Amino acid sequence: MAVVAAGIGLGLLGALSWKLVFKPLYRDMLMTIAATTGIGLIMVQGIIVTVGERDIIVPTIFPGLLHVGGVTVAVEKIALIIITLLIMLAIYLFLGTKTGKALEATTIDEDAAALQGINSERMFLLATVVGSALAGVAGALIVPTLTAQAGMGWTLTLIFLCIVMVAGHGSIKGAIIVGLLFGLVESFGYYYVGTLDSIILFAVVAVIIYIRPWGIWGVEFKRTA
Amino acid sequence: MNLREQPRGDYARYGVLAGVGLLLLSLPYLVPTYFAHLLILAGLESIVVMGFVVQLRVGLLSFAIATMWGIGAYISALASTTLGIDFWLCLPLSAMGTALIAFIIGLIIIRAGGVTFLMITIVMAEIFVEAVGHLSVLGGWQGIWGIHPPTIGSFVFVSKVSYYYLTLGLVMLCALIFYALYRSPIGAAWTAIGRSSDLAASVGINLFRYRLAAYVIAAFTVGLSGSVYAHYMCFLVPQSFDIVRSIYLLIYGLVGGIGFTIAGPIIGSVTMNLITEVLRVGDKYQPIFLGGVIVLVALLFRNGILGALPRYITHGLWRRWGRSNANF
Repeated sequence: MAVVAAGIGLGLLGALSWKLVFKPLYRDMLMTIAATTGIGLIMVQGIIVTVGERDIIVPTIFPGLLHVGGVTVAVEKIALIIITLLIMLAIYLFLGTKTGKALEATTIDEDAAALQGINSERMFLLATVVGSALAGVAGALIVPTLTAQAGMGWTLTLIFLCIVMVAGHGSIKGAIIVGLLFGLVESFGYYYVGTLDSIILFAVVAVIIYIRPWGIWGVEFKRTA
Repeated sequence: MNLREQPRGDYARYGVLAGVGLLLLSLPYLVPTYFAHLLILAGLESIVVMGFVVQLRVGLLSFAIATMWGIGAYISALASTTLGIDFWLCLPLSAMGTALIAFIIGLIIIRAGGVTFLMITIVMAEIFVEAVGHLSVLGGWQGIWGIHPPTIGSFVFVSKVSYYYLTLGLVMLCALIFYALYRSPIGAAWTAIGRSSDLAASVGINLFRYRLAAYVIAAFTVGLSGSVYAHYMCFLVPQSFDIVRSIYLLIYGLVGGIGFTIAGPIIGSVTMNLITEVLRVGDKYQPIFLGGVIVLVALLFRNGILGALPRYITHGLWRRWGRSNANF
């Protein structure tokens, strides 16, 4: 229930910020960055004011432990993986529909998509809403395994940005694969490499971006002079 | 015959300039010490924003401008603490060191093109923070302490007032450097690139060379600012030069108006620093108000505060810039 509520709520927030802020600022990238930062400040502090700065521990919906061949796993984590896979499948199926294809066309070339009769404005709205809603769902899902904290936004935003850049803009498949890789490196990097793991990780990211600016699975774009 | 419209009221303009000059000189004695502190920070940040704007003008949107600032600050801090070098040597040293690093990085990443450059600067910003944080030689997450204050003879820069004048001088110096550059053929080429890089390239402007020049010169001035920042704060932590700081500096520039290459950064930094401070009356609601102000400025002042003023006031400050032609 909470997960669905988070999805719907964040989707509505996304739609609201698109209508009020991002649409008027359309194509003014710098001002959009500024406005996004402003909205971020409002939201984070809004949470701190209403909920407080303390860490919140959310009870899990799937209690219990599972013993499989000598390994003990929390049921919750397995449920998490299954739900994540289901969501990925849903996104994949969605991209196969007409709307999904229109969305992808708008990502690749907005003007060409508009010439084919795609209402690009509605696609932007859709992307904002779906994106926010997914972020909400992901947040709600992950919250029982972490402690929720209002200030956790910036570092995560950077990591997500890196994932998208490496995977390629508009490539959902790439985002899934690179996201998994990033997660693995974050978990095991320290163990195998030591304190410099994050530097090496970001250096690799920089090299990949330099060689393939459109990302590994992205659509190649012309390097602007 | 001069076809350009003559500026109205030249004498009034000089009067205003003289008034502003006098006000700037006497300001530390008129306002509380804490405001002098804010003005020092705003001044140092305005230099960084000037560097940001000059890079932006040639189509390089950098999220690593605070990183450059940090590099300058750290060079100065390390030279001061571990080598015991005097501030007046640290200042040019960190400016040249930052410019050198920018030159080497710029050689590699400027050719990559607009969007790639942008993405790499984001990663660079992250690498800098992680590297400084993890390497204890550079102070680590705990930061660097005990940076020696500048001295002239037996006079030691300790008070806010002395730093205020130091900062004022530095801002003036950087403003003059940029003013001279924007007036020169180099500046004309920068503006041409900013308005349309394709057109500029077609008339024979070497995009890469002029972009690299803008990038390195910006790094040089930012390094100067970083050096003073390090000595003023006496204490550095890597987190103060992360990407969030870069984004805030970007916002300062936008608030002032990025069409105004010199006045914009100064006005923007001072305004935003003061607004941030004034909004502290809101206590824990302060960030909400600040976010609201930023969103409102973005929606209402698309060309910044200076861009919203009538043209006859800002005449001479405005540097034409085809905003819609920016390469992003």
